[in-house]
Amino acid sequence: MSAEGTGAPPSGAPALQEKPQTTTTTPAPAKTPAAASSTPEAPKLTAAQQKAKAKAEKAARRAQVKEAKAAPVVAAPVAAGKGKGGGKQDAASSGGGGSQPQKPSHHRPSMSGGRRPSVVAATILKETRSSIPECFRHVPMAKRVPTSAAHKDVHPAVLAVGQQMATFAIKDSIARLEATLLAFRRVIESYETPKGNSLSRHFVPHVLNPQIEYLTECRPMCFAMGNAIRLLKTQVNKFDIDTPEDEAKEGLLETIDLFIRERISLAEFVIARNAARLINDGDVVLTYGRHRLVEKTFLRAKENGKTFGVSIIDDPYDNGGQALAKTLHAAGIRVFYSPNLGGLRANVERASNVLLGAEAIFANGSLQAPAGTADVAMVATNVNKKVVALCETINFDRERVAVDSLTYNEIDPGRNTAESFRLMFDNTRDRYISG
Amino acid sequence: MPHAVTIATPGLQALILCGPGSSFPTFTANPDENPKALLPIANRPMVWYPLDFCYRAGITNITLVCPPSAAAAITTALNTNPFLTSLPYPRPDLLAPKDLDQNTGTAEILRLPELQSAVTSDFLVLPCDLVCELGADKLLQAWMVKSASLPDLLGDGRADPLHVSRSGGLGVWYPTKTGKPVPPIKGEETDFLATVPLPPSTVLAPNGSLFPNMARLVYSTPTDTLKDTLEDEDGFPVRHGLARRHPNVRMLATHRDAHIYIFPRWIMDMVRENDRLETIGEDVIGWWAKAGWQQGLSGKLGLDKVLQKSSASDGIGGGGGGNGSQHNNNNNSSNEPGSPEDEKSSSSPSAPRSVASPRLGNNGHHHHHHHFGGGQYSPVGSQMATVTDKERAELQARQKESLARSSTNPSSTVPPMLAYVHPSTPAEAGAAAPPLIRRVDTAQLLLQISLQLAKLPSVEETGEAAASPLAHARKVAYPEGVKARTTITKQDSLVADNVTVQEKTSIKECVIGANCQINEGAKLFQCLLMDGVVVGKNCKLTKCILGKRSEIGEGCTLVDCEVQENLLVEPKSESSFLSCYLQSTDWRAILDERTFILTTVTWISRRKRGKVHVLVRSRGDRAGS
Repeated sequence: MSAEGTGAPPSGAPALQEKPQTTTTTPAPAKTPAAASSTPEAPKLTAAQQKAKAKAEKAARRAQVKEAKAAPVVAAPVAAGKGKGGGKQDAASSGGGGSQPQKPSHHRPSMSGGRRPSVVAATILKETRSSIPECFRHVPMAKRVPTSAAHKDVHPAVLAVGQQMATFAIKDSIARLEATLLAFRRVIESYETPKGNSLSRHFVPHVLNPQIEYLTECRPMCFAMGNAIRLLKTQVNKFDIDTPEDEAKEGLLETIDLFIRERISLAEFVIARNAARLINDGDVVLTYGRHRLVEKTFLRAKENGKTFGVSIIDDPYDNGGQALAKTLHAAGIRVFYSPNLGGLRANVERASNVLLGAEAIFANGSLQAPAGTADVAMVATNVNKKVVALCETINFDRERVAVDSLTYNEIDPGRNTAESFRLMFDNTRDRYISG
Repeated sequence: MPHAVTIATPGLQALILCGPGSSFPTFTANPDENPKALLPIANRPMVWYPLDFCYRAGITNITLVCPPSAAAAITTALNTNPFLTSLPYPRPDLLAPKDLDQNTGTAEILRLPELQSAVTSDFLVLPCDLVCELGADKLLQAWMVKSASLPDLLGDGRADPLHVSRSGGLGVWYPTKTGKPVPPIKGEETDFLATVPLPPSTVLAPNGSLFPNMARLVYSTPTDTLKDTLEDEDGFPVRHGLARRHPNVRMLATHRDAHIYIFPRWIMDMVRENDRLETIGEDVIGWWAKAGWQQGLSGKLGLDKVLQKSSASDGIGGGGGGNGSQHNNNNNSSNEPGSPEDEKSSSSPSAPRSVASPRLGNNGHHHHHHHFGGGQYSPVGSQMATVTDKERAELQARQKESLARSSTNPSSTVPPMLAYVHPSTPAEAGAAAPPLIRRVDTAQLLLQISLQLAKLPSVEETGEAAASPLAHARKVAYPEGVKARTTITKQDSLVADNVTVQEKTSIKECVIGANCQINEGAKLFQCLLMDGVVVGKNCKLTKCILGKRSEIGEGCTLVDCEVQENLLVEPKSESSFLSCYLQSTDWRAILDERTFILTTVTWISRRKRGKVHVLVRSRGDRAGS
């Protein structure tokens, strides 16, 4: 139950989602053999990490109190008291107290960093979000802050990465993670500890947090980014206060390099290799949308000399499947393309197995993936086809569980009107993944 | 009180080129003492606008580039002018390369060693005469997302240095003949550009972004050059290479290059390697855009080498390290920009060419959609791709070809030069009115843009949040100086600090500079008064531009006049019938002409140290001369 204290979002998580959480506490069986077996090393959530997280949360709570104090002079003491109390109650998992006091805070705990978001961002947020019904207010949406609304300490590289994320020029979780880490590399390279401070004390609150906050305002972080940042912060905290700056910087850069190499490059290689083994000659493999692991797997299988066909069901809101079709076609793989989920059952029946790419995997083994994935998985299970999901371990969330698509999701900022809005992801329960 | 910039800096530096202002003969007769950059537009010195444009986007590393002779005047202004001193910190640097004179071409400026060492990162190039209401942050966003390459920005060392994609550039073009918000102005320069659409994005563009109006530039030239080509060739020759590569080209003939360029650092190397490039707008952009589709051109421009070298040694900032090899390269390719031209003119008559008649008229821009050889590339079909064998074979052949090309010539993919084509109608802009983008390089534009800016509601009226970034704090900065019983139309006028206005005056649609003195009974309509002008009693001025500290005697009636700084116009002068265009700078000739034609106008010439200037210049049509 340690997930309760650290994992649940303290702000506005409706009570209805707390319920299933308590019922399905079975530990997550890794239903994705390819992914689980291939990962070079499993991330351990050490005690230190938990501590750090708790610390971050505490800082966030303090910041909220501070904010509340600063904002309306009259209501300050009341709001402050409430904020504090709410936060604590929330940790004790009573949904009622926690959701009242801070209405507009949609940040996750690690994100609300301690600095106020700029005024412009706040107004933008209000305007775009006003149309979303109250019960979906907890679902975050990319705020797409302009560069002129960013905090002044945001590094240029991070600024560019943030804009790319905000405009969805880079959108899948691993690409975002990679860009973030590389941008943080630049931040660390250009960092100089001010006099009378040490890196371990100064870097995170004064340099790293503004960057993270900005990135979160551009688009809510994905789980992989959250995991990576947590790891990075832990690394900083590990440094002794007397560690020379150069050494500490060197160490951090090394950590990032290692992280990219092992968790991204190597993981990608191993997953593609293992998953390619699941493809047999003469198969028709069905996939949904475009995912880089799936794409790598197909190309890898082709390299291995397999002859097979790929049936692409495209996400109608994000025609990434077209690009995938072009790439595969160029590689000499036979491609069937369907622009949307229409006639899904027929397509699935024709296929021999299903290969899906996941955005994240929750502690209960359910899959977060682009909206539509769940339909494909369910139909495939229904007609007894093998469903394999590919995901890097960095995308695993070991604390949160989700049984529906509403607990953790994101609203498509481009399709968000008074009448309707689109959720970007859906949730596929583990039972629909056959492994 | 100046304050430090409080928003994130995007990591680019800005170069503001403070040129000579040859198109303001009346007001920049002495460009060293009165540089064009300091002419007031709506009471602010011209250079304030690009500076403010940078600061608004958080760009604080700004370098003003001016000839050494004008450096003193600009430095003084930077330290004393209230508008320039109230800009946020840090202050812009002033760079006055010793070889720079008033006639150096813009690309030649970039080639100067001072500039080569000053530019160390990706950079913006701005003219000093730019008025741009559109925020640079939006342009930067467009550049960051559509043109910049992440490995380049992030210094991703893992990527193969031969295949890494390099950042591209971005330029801005605005429509000149729309009538909104500025009425069309006769004789305004235009540029000719051809663009192709960007590859379609699967994601909706965010509201308010510039993405819908972004396109890839494939051809750009000033309209004057284009007209010459049209005369020589009796038509507009289009290379088949362009048509093959881009079947869907949009050509615009009445837009103008705003001279806002966002460039990656490697452009400095390209400019250094090609000493035939004279100007940025025509040569650098023009050749770069062409190199994107014309085979072999990138080699001739030495782009391959530039792109590889800069990717190998990124961020070092063009030190002296590679000088030897550069020299060789210069020798090898000394005539490159010329040779493609020759080739073009020689090959185009022999090859069958498609001649599009661009009809360079005033009636808006023309869209030519060429569709050549359909079906070369069919997007993957709608339902279960039914690609025919023939098409597939063709597709594969194409892919092989392109693969072969890219393997033999690693960086044959020239980074894109993108064009933001400013929309002219509100519907296209997605806002109430498209923001103003304009270059102010003629007196007529100076007047019109000043009047336009005067119409912006002031911060006092609308509040901080809603006001345009170019709005003034107050319409009448010093209300105490204005006597009762005067008419000042506040919605379209601007009266600066310390202006005294006497009784019974009427000021309609005017911009009045600081320390001006308007005496009793004066009537001003659509006038622009620079600092310290004295207007005598009962003057009637319409559409006039009065230079600094000029003095208009009692009872003058002037229409469409430009009065040079420090000059006195005799009382009772009338110019209403002046319709001759005095262009000669030889004052004696003008005086002769004047005595002939304009006998009723009295002129007093000298107020300052024996220099004789033309007193009143009248604009109008050329019919009289």
